[in-house]
Amino acid sequence: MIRVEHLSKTFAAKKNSGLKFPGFKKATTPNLITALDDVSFTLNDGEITGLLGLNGAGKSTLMRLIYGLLQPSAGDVWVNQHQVSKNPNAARQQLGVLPDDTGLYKRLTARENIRYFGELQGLQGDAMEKSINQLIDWLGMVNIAERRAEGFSLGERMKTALARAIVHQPQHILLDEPTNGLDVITTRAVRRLLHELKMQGRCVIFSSHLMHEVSGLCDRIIVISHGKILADGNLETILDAGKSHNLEEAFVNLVQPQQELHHA
Amino acid sequence: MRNSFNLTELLNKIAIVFRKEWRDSLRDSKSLRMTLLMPVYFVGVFVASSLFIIHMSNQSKATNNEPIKLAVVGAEQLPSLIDWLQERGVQVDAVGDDAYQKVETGELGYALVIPKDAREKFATGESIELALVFDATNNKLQGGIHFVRQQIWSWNGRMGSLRLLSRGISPGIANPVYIRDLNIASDEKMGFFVMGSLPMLLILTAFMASVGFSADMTAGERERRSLESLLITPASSTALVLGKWCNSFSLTLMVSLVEVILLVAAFAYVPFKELGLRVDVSPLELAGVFVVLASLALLATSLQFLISLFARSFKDAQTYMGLMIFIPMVPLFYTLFNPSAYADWFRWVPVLGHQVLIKDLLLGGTITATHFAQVWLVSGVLACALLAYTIQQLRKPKIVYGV
Repeated sequence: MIRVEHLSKTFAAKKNSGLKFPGFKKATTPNLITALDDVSFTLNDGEITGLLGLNGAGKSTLMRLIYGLLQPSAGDVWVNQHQVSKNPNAARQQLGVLPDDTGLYKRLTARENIRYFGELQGLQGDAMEKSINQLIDWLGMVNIAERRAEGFSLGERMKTALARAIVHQPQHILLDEPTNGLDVITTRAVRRLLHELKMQGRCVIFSSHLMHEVSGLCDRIIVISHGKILADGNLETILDAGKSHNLEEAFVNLVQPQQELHHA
Repeated sequence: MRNSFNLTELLNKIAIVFRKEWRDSLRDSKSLRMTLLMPVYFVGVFVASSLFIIHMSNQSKATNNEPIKLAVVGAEQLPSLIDWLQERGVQVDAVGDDAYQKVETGELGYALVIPKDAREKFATGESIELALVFDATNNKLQGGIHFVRQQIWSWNGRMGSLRLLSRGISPGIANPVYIRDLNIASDEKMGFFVMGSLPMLLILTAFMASVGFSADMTAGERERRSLESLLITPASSTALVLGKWCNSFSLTLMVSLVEVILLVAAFAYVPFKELGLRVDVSPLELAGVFVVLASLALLATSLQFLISLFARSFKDAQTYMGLMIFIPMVPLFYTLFNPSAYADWFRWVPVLGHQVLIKDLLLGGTITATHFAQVWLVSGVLACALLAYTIQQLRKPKIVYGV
């Protein structure tokens, strides 16, 4: 269970850093950019939650606050009983995270990459090897497991990174655009894995721009724009809120007024 | 109990990180080759410059030893001058009257022509006109001509003094000053410079050996976007930093060891004695040098870590590291140009203290255990402070995301 309570995050605006967090709402204080504004929700175990939002809506910031590499300006994140700001390492032990655009150690093989993170998570011996083999099997990585990551294709990199993120079988799994740029077969493998994780009673949250993927996979959808939650619920709730019969249309309907408000 | 468990846990994690980084470094064969090439290159330069100076000094000795030949016309006219010249090592060859033509054609380098009435004039105390025939465009003969001329002048001075004495006048009246040449062998000084540059090469090695690897493990890892994933693991910042730092430290030790071993070989085979220097550096003293370098590596690698952690990219890190190299250069240059400068507080200054101790080890100064303790204490305290600060900063958003 991940509990997010009244979470806010503001950044001091730098003159040339517009690239990193573009489009954020300017708060009343002129030099602050609000990336997240009073966000609250609880993610339950055994559920897949999809995070929908335009580029720069605050999805990555929200993820980073959950795994504690950014400190919230206000509010708190709880991973089960651990408060992330107080006890980040205990919280991280129960998290499996795939950040966006993550890199591998290219001089290590896929298996060594996964094993290194398993060891850092405190796994050892047979339990670890078993877990690694299982993931290699699930993600169809048998033919690349002993190859060095140098020269991996995007899909091979993503699968290795995903296996690395969840090798310790965490209760909570955060994935930032896990199927971004993957081919159909690999995307299917990832989806199958997410479904498998859900069946095991784990709490999964992932961000995506693919509407059909979110509508097909998620038990719950959170639409976020300019640091605020616009809609939160199952597919029907979102469709109702967006007054449409397909998710893409509903999403655009939800986000569009916000966009215009901010650009006005 | 809990504390000891945490310590084992920490050491275990450090070992995991170190093992991974070590494997990663060993597989980076290109960087590793370049790193190991550095001691070979430095020792090579040192040996080559030593051999060059030895060769030069041998050559100048050889030319000094070769007797100066002087062709003389009418040698029988002034036997006392000829004796004087021969005593000074000039080989006198009597030649006929055609000496002038022979010099003109190049058959003779130069010749001294003593006039026929010289004996008579010498006996009566008159001035004699001696002619020194030479071709001024021939530079090779300048040294010999200069020497002969100087010898003739000093014989001239002597004869003049004797004549004044015989008339009851002090020679001091005719010779207000006289010059005594004191030649300090410049070869020895060059040898001292070569030996003086050795601590600099050693210190630079310790500072530079793992620069690339340190930058790769911090700034490079962020650039390749694996740092964020690494920091999301529950491994403590202490374990991550120390594990990575152990890798840099081990690599620096390895490179320093290679350099010291190469030096042992160099000292065994290069004939430093010909430089007139006391250069009997034993392997034991070089082992001492390695101990000093190890303490310096402690300091250098932790400095590398701090600098590359704050660099925005790998390229940035390498630029900063380039500037970092100037830190040891400052005291090194100072002492290179003032080789005799020394004060007790030098030993408490990082790098300078190391240099003083290495120099003492190489050139045979007094060495006590306290001197080693001093450099290790200074390096250790600084390294701990630098690493502690790095550990504290590692998971800051500014480091991970640059915000």
